[in-house]
Amino acid sequence: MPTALIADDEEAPRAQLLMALRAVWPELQVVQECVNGVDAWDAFLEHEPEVCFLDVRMPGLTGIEVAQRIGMRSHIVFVTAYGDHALAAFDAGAVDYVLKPVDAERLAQAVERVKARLAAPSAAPADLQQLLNQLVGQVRKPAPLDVIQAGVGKEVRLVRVEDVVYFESDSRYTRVVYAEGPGEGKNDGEVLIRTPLKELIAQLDPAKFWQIHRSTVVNHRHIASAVRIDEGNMVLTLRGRSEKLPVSRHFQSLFRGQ
Amino acid sequence: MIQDPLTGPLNPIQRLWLTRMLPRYRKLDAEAFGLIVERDKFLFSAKALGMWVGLFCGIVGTSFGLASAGLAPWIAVLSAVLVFAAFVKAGVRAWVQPQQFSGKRLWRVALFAMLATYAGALTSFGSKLGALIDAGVPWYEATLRVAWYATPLQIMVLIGALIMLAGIASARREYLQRALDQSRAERERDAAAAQLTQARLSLLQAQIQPHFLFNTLAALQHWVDVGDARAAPLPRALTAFLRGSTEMMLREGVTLAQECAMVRHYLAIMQSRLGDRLRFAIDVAPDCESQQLPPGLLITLVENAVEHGIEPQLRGGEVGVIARLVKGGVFELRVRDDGAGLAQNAPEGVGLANSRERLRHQFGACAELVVKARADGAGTEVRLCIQPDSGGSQTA
Repeated sequence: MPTALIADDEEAPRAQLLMALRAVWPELQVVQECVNGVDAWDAFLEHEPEVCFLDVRMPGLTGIEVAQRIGMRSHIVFVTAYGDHALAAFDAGAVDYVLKPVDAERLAQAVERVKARLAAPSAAPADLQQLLNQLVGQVRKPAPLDVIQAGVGKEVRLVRVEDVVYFESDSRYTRVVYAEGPGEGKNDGEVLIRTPLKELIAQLDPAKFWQIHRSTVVNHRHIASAVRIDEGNMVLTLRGRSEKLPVSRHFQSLFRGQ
Repeated sequence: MIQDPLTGPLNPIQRLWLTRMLPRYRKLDAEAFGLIVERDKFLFSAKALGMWVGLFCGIVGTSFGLASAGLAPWIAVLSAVLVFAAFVKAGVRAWVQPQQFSGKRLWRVALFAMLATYAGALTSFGSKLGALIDAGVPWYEATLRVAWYATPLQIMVLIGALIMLAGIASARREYLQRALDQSRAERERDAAAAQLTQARLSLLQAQIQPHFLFNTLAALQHWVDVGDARAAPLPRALTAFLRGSTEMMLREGVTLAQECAMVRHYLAIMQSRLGDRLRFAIDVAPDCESQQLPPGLLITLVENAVEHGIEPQLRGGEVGVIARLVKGGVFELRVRDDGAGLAQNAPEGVGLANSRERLRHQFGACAELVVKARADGAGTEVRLCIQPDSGGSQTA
């Protein structure tokens, strides 16, 4: 049974797509309906569905950014109300998309294409990275987070993002493990903040902070090495610290010898 | 554009003449062809009859005059005809091609005319010349005497001819210049009108915003399909908003009250789509309601707040519109959101730049639009201040 996730920030188009999919592709199991980009990315890491229907404009991470992170691990179908430049690019890059409001016939065509790709054993999902890199620049993004404010008892501690070693999600909270540099009254510590990790991800500079696991994001400056234990397992060692952080399969391709 | 000149109402004479002359005329360029055909049509038309009669009388009169001055009758008639023909031809030429009858050219023509008339005089007064020579006057002296005798007439003819030709030419030049100026002014006006229409069209296109429209219709479609109660008010609000948008674009100015009505429709639509993610409050003091604004300004600011402030926020936010008259009668309008905030170094959007332009056009330096991050928390505030007595002179 093929699995899928749906992501759209508005409730009506989400429900409409779900209904239309049930009619056109009854065997498809929709594992999650996501309300924004960070939710979609987190849901992908949790369920690893075979198909992802992504609205293009979403808060947190846009559909394009989510698709970039998913890479070739899933078949992507974009959902959009009006393409502007994106549609031309989609057509040129043979990217699947459906327009809102969802038209049953057009959806059926897109579904046929996805089914064909799923059925072909050797065919991988289309490599859209280049196209997506082009499109991603079209959305204005606020500046990345600078400072984390964490309540510790009566105190609100301000931790500079650049001092953070890694973030780890911990049920409803996120652990922030930090190490202030030498010569500044060297302070190591950790605090808990309420912002879910999946939301933090969208506010961090992806060039500096690498996600290595659904629940872990590491500041790359503190990574010492990545050690492969066996076929499916890899851990990271950190500079000056003893923790070893597991790297999940999806992210192991980040660490490759040159 | 060369239509067959033989079409249209022609009297028999025009038809005859044109049929004969057309093969020759067709060798000319289009403009000359047109002018010459017009001229010929005129010459042979009923209106020109008066002209011909006058010409005929002139010839007759001159012939009698010349004859009484001593010329043989047939020479008198011939001379008169030739002179008048020359005048008419020269006059028509001056009309058709006035640039050839100015300055040096005119003097050359005059000189030629003078010599011609002297030669003519000598020939016509040939009998007088003969009589003088017979009387024993040497031929050169006789020639001179006859020439001198003819001179007053020459001068009259010369001056008359010059005046007439110069007059015709300059009148025609003036006429052409005026026509040229007029056509240039018309072309400029047309270009300006086309540009204005184009600007309004782009503004309208930007206003209609396909993204907003299709997303709203998608929501409406779904709610109709499932029988959700949110479907009911949506078409009404959408129609009111679209109608307001399009009508507004055709006007020079709108009141704050009118534009607020549209803003309410827009926010109601967005709220039904976004649910809890959008909260809003509109607070307009009653004494501000009649303030004139460039149409579409407020709606642009509110759209920006929703699209760039609220929609990208994970938890949504609140949009506020506040209008007051503050100290000194200054009108102050603020649109604020507690949303995503301004992107660093992002260039100003087209809608905002357009708004600034229209404000400048309507109020000059009396209006000021400031976009900045909010001091009291996250988000953005856009503040518009308009000094009083700034005119707002455009009619609504």
